[in-house]
Amino acid sequence: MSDPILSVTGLNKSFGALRASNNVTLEVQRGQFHAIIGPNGAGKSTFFNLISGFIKPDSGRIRMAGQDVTGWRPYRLFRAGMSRTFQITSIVAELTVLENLQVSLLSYHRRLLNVVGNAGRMERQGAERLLELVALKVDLDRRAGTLSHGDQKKLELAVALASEPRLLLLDEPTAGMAAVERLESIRAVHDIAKRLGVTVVFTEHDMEVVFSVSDRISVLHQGGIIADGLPKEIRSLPQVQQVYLGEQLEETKG
Amino acid sequence: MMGRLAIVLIGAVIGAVIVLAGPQVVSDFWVFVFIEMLVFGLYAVTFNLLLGYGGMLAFGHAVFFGVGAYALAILMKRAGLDVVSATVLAPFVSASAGAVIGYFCIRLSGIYLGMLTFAFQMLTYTIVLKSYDFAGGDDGISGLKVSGFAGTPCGFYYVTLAVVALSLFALWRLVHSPFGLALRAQRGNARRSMALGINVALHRWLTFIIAAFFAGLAGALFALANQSVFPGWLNWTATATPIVMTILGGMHSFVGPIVGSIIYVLLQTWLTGLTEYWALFLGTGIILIIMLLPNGVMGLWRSRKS
Repeated sequence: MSDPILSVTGLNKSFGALRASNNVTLEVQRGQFHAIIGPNGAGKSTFFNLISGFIKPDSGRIRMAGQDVTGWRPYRLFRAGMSRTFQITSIVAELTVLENLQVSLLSYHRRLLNVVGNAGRMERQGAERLLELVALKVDLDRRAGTLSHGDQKKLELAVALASEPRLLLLDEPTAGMAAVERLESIRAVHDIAKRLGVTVVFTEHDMEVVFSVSDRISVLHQGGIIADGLPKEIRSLPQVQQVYLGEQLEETKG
Repeated sequence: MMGRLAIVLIGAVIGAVIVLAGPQVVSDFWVFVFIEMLVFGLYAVTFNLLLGYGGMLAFGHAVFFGVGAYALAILMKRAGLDVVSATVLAPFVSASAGAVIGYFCIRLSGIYLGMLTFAFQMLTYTIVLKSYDFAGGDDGISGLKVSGFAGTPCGFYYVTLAVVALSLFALWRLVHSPFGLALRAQRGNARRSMALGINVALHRWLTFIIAAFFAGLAGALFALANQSVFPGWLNWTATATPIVMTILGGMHSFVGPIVGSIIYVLLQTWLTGLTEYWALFLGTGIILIIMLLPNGVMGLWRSRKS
């Protein structure tokens, strides 16, 4: 337990008067499937954007595999072994499936400053391997934007896995899916991650999904961590039930 | 498919004959028109490298063309360099301008980026206009003589053809390279691109420098073709030329801006011979083409393909 892949200490971020991240301290152990839960506006997205370098913390430290990566920009974190997906599925819609994978693989192999090679012929095998890995069977030359929502999610996962990441951040991996698809989808992701030995940190709204696959769960509320533990510990905490009960009531109201 | 292949083959043969033998049989006036098409074709492709591939609307792209032209003139007339050295060095001067201007512009997007490049263009225009001793003020700089083989219109045409063809080949390789793929990726989705390891700011900056290099080369060639440079090349009226050419030909293809340049120069040449109100008809013609072919002439070709 002494060698976490991700270690966050005292992370703070305010947007004006809003404390989106309030003294967050958290450790993620290697190989875990670690969920970050919390109601809307709890600061999950801010937390993700802080760790992945999209926003800079006001204070606090982020370490990946022992190395201080606070303030690193996204491209640098990618090269250091961190990959992420976005809540709103984020692929390059006007590029083909193949090109989406190629650009990620070429980036990982540090070949993006090559100005003379024919990119169309590069990394084809790697791209096919990645599609196989996420069980996506589509025409490589199809425009990524024309894929179904579920297939775009799979493609985004494949793109994120191209760098053989040590740490994979999934922001709402089942967002926009029908309830029945969610469990199946997260289990598939879970299997891939376990097979590859990738540590996964993910945010998720659906509690059934969270409790079915997580090794560990942290609860965010109003920008701060209010609980952190094994799923069975988290499930029984009254404060968590309270937070989620409130959330559910609000959801039914809205 | 057969039909398409045949069109390409016949087109390529006719094109090659016109490009290679055409200047031998037409008057010097038309040789100059040919040179103009080539130079502006290259210029428009560099504009489209930024817009079509990089998603950066460099409204003031004329600054790089102008800086290249003026660099050549100043190196020849003030520094006393020979024509070859000046032509080789001029693109490096415009690339340096691209490095400085790009440094400030890459952080912006859309119309803001466009307006900032335009501000740099007008700034350069003002400097050139006020600097009589160095840049010739509103007279420009003339007497940029080329001697030897390239001293005749036809000779200069072939030199221009070779330089433009090599430049276009280099740019064609660039847009199909991993660098070009990453450039298109960041245009399509900057956030995704950052998350997959593209240093988007660096990539955009390098693209600015490369586009400025070749735009400056086009400017230098145009200066030699005219044997002079004029401050008007940096004025706001010069802004529209590469934009219109790119939109006419189509920004979603590599050859689009070249096709746009050919159409633009032909229309302009033909209309100026017909009427003194040529600008009115040129403008109307361009509006019509854009309305009828929103993806440019190459867009028509693409829809035929699919």
